[in-house]
Amino acid sequence: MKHTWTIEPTDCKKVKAFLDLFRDNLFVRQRIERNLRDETPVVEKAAFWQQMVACLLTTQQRSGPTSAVTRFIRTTPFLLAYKTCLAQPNVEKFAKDTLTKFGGLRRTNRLASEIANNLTVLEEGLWRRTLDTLATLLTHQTVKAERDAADFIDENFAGFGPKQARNLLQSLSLTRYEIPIDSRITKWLNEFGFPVRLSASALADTNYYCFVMDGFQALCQASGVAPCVLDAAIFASFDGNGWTEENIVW
Amino acid sequence: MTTTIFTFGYYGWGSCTPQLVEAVDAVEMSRGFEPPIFVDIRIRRNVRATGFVGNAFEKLLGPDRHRWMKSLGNRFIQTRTGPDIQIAEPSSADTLLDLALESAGHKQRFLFFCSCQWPIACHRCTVAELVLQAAKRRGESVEIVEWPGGKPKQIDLDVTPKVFTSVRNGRKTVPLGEMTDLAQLGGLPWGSIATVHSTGDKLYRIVGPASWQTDKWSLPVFPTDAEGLAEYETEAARLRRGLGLEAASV
Repeated sequence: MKHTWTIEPTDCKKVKAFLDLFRDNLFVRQRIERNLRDETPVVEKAAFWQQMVACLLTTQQRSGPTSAVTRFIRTTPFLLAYKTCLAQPNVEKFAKDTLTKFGGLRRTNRLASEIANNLTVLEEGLWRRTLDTLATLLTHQTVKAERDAADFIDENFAGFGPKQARNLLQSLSLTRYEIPIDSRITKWLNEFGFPVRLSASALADTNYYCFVMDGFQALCQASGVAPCVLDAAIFASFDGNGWTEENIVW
Repeated sequence: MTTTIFTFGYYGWGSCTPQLVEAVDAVEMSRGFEPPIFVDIRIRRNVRATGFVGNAFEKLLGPDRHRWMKSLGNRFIQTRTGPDIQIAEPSSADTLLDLALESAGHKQRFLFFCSCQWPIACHRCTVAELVLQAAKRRGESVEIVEWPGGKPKQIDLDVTPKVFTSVRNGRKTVPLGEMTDLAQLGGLPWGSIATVHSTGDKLYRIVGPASWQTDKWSLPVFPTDAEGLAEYETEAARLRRGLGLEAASV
């Protein structure tokens, strides 16, 4: 069975009207500025590493503007920076101690294990393929290229499924079409009148995730909206105006 | 007489295939059937799920209860080009139907499976359509439904206050006790409503068939904002349709 997405003119009107409500929202403006610009800066190891840790932190814990996760991500210098982690004799213990000492963060054992695992696979040779994959998106921004890059992250790094893989790419300003779909997006789509009822708990299945993504992209394409921008507007609609220049991390 | 064939996605069962077989066999035997035959319709079997790597699942079941029909696999998985779903040899659906009808004669049914959790986004839906078309051509009465099939039920579960609180706070599973009736709970239809009780309190949850979580049986929970039994039932019906869990027949 192949589901065919049929987008009506009224759907497009609804999307545009919704987007108009958040056009001036800082979070939306930043997404447009970062993810729709013509030239995206090359991603270096340190930046990739920091965003990877940030994404791992947001799994199964609150990451709103005032959350401990956001405060941790904004530490300067970043407490789990690439060079800092690389210098540790036992990075898992270091990560666990750092996360625990900071306070307010859940899953510190799991996070520390994932951080250590990912540093190991990168240092053992995955850096080249990772940076090449990211570089592809600088010159070749298509749905397929973005989806392939997300699959690469999903398949190679601990703690990453389809959603977090896209969260990472989006936070590096590398994606326009593939977005992190979570319960906010499914809730919004269900209320919007998506033709099939969506369940956030089903999204761990990559095929189901891509099925929902296809529908979201079809809706955006028909409405003349970049998926990453509609994503930002939906995100903003849940968080209100809580994101400011000071605390914005995504 | 209608022959029922099941579709199945092994997602989540990769490290606990003995428990999977235990549950499926208990359910089928309680329904008056022999332990079923599993038909693998993946095009390749080099996967992460340990219980389904190569011929691992075949070894567990024995050759009499296992077939690998690579010809019904999704060629897109190998080529990554063209449409998302391309059945390698669509005419093999006739062979699958032959086998299913023959086995039905001695009260043994078929589950044909892939890795994807939900049928809506999986090539097994396309295979199901091909099998139904073949059945229609031959004038055979066939029903195909996602395992374990059946109409949603309502069940009551008594849990400890601690479990009750965690379920109320969003836990994604309801753990079952030591004496889990696998024939009943392993065959609980998707989208059933569980009324969870503890010390005079109760709440509803949309659940599916029991699955093995680390070291115990649990019911998976679909999060929803529904309130009251009627809303839960409506939402469950929508989810069943949205995930492709309804039966199709000719």
